[in-house]
Amino acid sequence: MNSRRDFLKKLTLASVSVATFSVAACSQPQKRPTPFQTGEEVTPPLGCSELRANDANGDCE
Amino acid sequence: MNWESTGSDLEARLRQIHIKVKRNFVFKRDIGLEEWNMPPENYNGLQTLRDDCDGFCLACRLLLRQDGISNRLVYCEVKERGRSFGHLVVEVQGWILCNLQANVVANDQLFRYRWLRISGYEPGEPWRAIIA
Repeated sequence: MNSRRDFLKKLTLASVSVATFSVAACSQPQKRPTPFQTGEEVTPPLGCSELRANDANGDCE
Repeated sequence: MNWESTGSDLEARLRQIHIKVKRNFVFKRDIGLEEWNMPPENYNGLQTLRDDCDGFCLACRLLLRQDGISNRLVYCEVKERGRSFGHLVVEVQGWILCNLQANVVANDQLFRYRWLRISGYEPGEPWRAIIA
């Protein structure tokens, strides 16, 4: 009987620990990312060129 | 507010804008040629947008500009089920706003994305190759 009680006690403790850890891990903000590094100038995608040609306010550059 | 120095505030604001645009965004594939369109002049995130990834990005960009948040458009390729397709997202200091994602994600967490070209921050600035 005692061993069963001990087992249930340990199981409860383990469950609470796992739940606490999970909540803590999920609530952490993501690590700040690194902005892209850029190289040589390239042509914009086709859709952007067409937007700029048709709409002076086309904001894709 | 200086968005350059407030990391967690910035992330929270990006999440709000992403959710706002996504909530009223209905994906509609271009028929024929790729066509980019600006959102309506009075767009504030509450109107329904029917467009594809570029429409989503231009809408996010407009709201980001209204908040004074510098951002860039990023052209990439996404790998899905053995094939790749061209895709457009918005980047703010390495955070990515993408219509395919449920939330804002760091660029280094999008493993199926191959980053290719990036716009400038302001009109008139050239697009550049992404090297890392």
